[in-house]
Amino acid sequence: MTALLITQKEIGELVSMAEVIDAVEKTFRGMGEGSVINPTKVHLDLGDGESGLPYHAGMNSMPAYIGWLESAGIKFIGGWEDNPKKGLPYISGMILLVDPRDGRFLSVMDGTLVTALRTGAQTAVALKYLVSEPRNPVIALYGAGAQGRTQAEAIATAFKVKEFRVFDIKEEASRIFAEEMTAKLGVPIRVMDRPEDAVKGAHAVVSVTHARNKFIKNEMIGEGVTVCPLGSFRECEDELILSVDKIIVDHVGQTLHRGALKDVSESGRLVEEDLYGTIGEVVAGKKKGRENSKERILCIPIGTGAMDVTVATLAYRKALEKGVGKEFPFI
Amino acid sequence: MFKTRLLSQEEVKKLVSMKDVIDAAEKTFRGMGDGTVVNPTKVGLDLGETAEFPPYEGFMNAMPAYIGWLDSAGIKWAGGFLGERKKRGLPYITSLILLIDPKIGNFRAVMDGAYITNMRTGAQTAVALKYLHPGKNLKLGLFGAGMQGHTQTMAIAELFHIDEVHVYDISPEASRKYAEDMKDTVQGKIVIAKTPEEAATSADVVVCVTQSKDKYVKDAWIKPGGILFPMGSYQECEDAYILNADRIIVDHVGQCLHRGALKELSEAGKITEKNIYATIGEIVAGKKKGPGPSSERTLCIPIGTGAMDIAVASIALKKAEEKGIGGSYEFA
Repeated sequence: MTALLITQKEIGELVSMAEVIDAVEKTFRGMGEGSVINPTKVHLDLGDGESGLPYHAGMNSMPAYIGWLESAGIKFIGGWEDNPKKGLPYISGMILLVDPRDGRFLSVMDGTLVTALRTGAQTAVALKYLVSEPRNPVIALYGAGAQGRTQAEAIATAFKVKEFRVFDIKEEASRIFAEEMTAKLGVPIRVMDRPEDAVKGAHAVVSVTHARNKFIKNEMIGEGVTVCPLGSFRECEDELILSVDKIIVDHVGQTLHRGALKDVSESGRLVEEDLYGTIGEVVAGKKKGRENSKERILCIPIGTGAMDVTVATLAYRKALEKGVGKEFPFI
Repeated sequence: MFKTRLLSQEEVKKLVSMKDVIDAAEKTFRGMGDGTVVNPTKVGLDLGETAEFPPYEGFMNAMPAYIGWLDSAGIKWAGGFLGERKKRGLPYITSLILLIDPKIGNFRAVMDGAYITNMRTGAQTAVALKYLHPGKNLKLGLFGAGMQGHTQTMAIAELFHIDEVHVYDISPEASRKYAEDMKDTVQGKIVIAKTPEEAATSADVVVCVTQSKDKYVKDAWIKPGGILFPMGSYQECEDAYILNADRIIVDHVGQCLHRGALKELSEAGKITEKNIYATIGEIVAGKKKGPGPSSERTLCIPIGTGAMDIAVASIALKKAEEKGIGGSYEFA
C-alpha cells in the first residue's frame, strides 16, 4: 500500500485560493451541522510552556474528520521562535491523510502552505457572513508578514475590496507588502503609520501580529466594524472584547484557552455563554450572522484541524487526478 | 530545504530488533520517571469505534512525545479498524510516525508505525515484568493469540525463561498457529488452554491482548503473587480484581483512567488517581519499589504511550542513517 507524497510547491500549483475558500465554507457548514469531528488540539511543549526544554517551540496535533469529503487526517505543526534569526522558517508542519473507511494512509504532505491558505480562507468566509459592507469593503490589516499576505489574498478573492490599509510596526515591511500585493491582487493598498488611522473608515480589521500589548483599543472600533484578531497572543483591549455586540469563534474549546480571549476567559470575565455562536452555526444558517449595519462583531477563527484536513484532501484529490506527487510504499 | 527520510515497514523490521526495542522502552520508562520525557495525554478521533457517526468502526489516536535521552520529538498517529479494513484482510492496526528535530523543527523522518506499535507494546510488558516479577523464570497465561500475543511473548522471552505458556483464544485455529510460530521463541512448553480459567490459573503472569468487552478474567483466577496485564482497549477483567488487587501500576495516569481497563470504574468514581500505586516509570527510575510481597496481587496496565513509539522510531532512524537505508524526500 502506498501513500502519495506531496511537496509544498506542488500544493501551491494544485489548489487555488478560490477553491480553498469554497471548501473551507463547506467545512464550516459541516461543523455547524455536526458532520465534522474536530477534537481540541493537543499540545507538545518543547519549551514554549512549562516543560523546561530549551527550544522556545511547541507542536500541535490537530486531527479531524470531514463528513462532506469523507476524509480524515491530522496536521502536526509548530513554531520555532528562534528560527527566523537563523534564517530558518518559523513554522514547520506536516499533514497525514487516511481513508476513514479502512484506515489506509493516503497521503503525506507539507503542512505549512495549507495552513497559510486555510487561515486566509477562514477569515474570508467568516467575513462573507459578518462584514457590514459586502460589495466594496475597506479592510484594515495589521501585520504585513506572510500571514498578512494570505489574508489579503483570500479576502481579495472573496470580495471586490475597495482598499486595504496596512499597518506594521516595521514600516519597511508595510511598504514592501503594499508594493508586492498591489501588483499581485490589483487592489489599492495604503500604508498607514498608526493602527488607529488604518481602521478609520474600514469595515473590518484583520490582525495577524505577534503583539501581546492589546493595541487594538475599544475606542478605535466604531459601529459596524468586524474585528478578526488572529494572533496567538493578545491583540485586543479587554474593554473591546467585553463590549462588542457579538463574539463569534470557530471552535469554542480552543478559543477560550488560546489567543485573544485567553486573558478575559481565564480571569472569569468571559464565559462560554458570552459567545454568540460559531462560524459554523452561522454558515449552516442555525444562527444569524450580522443583523444590522451597527453591530460591532468580534470574530476569532483561531484555526482548526478540520480546515487543514479539508484543504489537504482537496490537494490530494487533485494530485491524484493530475498525476502529481510521488508514491511511497510505507507498507 | 530539508530532507526527510522515508522508512517502510520492511525497512523498520530490519533496523530494530526486539532487544533494541526493550532497551529503548526501559530507558524511556526511566526518563518518564525522571521527568525528562514529555508525553501529553493522547487525543482520539472516533471514527465509529464507539460513536454513532461516522460509521467506520475505527479510531485514530494522536500520540506526540519528546524523549530527553534521545533529544528527539515526534508523533505517532495510529488507529484500529474493524469494518471495511477487516473485510479487506488488512491488519487491525494502521499507523505512521513522524519525527522532528526539536531544535529547529524540521521533519527528520516519516515511517510505518504499525510494526513499532506491536513491538513496543510487547517490550513495555517485558520491562515492567523485569521490575515487578522476582527471578528469571515465569509461567505465562496469554489471552489473545494474534499479532500482539506474538510480540508480547517475544518480548518476555527476551528477558525471562518462560517455563510454560498457557494460551487461550476464541479461535482455536489462532492458538494453534501461535503455538507453531512461537515454539522456538518460548524456552519451555506451549499449552493450548481449553478454557480461559485454565489459561489464567496455570500462570504467575497473565497477559490479555484481546478486543473483548466481556470482563472475562475473574478475580479468583489470579493467585497471590500474580500479575495481570490487561492490555486491551476495553475492560478484560472483573471489577472485583481491579478493586481487590493490592497494587495498581500504570504507564500514564491520565490515559489509563480514561481508556482501557480502568475506564468504567474511573468514570464511576470507584477508582481515582489515589488508587494507583505507581507508574512504571517511577519504578524503573527507582522512585518506587518494584516487586511486592509474594502474597500481593498486582494489576499492571502499560496502555501504551507515544513516548515509546517515538523512542523506538528514533532508534530506527539513527540506524537507518548509519546504514544508509530508506528513501528521502524534500517536502518543503
